[in-house]
Amino acid sequence: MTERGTRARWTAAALVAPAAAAVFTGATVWAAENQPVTATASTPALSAPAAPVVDPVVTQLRKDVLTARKQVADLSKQVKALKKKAAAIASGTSTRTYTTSGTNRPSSSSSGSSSTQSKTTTVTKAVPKPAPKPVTPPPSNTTTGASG
Amino acid sequence: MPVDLRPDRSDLQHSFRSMASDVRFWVVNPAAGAEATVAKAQAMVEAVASACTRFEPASDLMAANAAGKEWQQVAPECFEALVLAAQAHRLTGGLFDPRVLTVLRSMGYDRSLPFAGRTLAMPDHPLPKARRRWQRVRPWKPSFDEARSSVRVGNEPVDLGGIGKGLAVTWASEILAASGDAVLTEAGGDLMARGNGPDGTGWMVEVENPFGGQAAAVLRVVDRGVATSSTRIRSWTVGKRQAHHLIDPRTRMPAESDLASVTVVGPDPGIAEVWSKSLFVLGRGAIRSYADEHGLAALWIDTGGHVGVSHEMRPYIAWQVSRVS
Repeated sequence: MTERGTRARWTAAALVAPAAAAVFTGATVWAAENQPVTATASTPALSAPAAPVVDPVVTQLRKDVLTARKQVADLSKQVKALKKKAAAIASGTSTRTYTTSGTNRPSSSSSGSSSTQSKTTTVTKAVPKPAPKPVTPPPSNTTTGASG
Repeated sequence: MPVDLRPDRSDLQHSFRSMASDVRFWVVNPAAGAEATVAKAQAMVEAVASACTRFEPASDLMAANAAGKEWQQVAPECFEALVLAAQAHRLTGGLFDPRVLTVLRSMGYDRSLPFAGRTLAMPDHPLPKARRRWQRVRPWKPSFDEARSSVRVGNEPVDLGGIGKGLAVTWASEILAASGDAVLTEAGGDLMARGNGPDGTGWMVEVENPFGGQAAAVLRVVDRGVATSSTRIRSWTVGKRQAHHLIDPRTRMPAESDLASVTVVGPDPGIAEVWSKSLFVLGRGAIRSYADEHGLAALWIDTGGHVGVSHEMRPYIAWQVSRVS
């Protein structure tokens, strides 16, 4: 080995050694300051998505919409019933349901005990059409109007 | 047109002309001596007409007008008519005011005019200025001396046209009251219906359509007076301006009403006449509330042909339309 080669190797070692020492020291310091990541044994549970934050006004409006829909449905039923009624009146008849309650006496051949019950009777009655308003005035005895 | 519901019976009917109107008496099932009573009733109407006319300078009314603030003795008929006019002036809060003679004269209505069936045109001349509505109208305060049958009407001459006619109908009706089972007394749209009428169910009174078509209503009245104020007949033109005899006392000019006619039912045709005129002046906007507030039985037809009735009028309505044309 030549003297020149020996010198070069010593020079390189002199440069690399402190650099390596510095890298080592730095790594050691970093390792001391940071916690190692530890893997948990259990299977990480999937977290439930957070419940969406809903504006209370919107909630109230939704309730209102539902209520309004119910009302519309009720009114539609009423309109249908009234239309049926109007059609019945127009045709000159209307169906009326009467509920009568009273004592239903058993016949003499029965056991003799009496019982009270409610009876529902459906009666179809002809309702006369209202008399049309006369177009011409009834006869009169005199007239009141402009003096002359 | 009026129809006699019992043409087969020999009722007593009598017609004549007075107070620039057709006057008619109808006595149902007349009693003995009814003809004499009818003559007496006619004499009464003519006495009222003679005393209360403004077309005769020598009449009691015109003598009182000429006397102004001085006492003037007048016939009892004129005295009573002036007393009633003063009461009506107070009763209506000034809506009825007989101090309209100057205005009527200024518009050419200074004599009995042939209105029926014609369009009268007066030569154009300047009319007095309309009084502003906010200008205070001094109340009419005539003085009366009943013992001497004397009056002081004041500075402004008065006209007793409508109220005199109503009073004549009332008095004639009182004279005729006992002459038959039922009596109708009428003069130019104002009438007094006593008793249950020819068929025993009340007098049927047609309310004229002011536009000339089919009737607006038919009233059934018993022991009631009926009066109508309308401009259908007593209207004329002065130059290009339209004039009529229903004067608004607030402006001292022909009422600019949006009503075509007003009919009032009440115990007395004279008072009914006063109210019909006052309600006409009020106009469509106020007539219903005013009539209901004062308990007046009123039926009105506006210039658009709509027919309205007050609450008190409803019991008298036998037939009615909501609109006429």
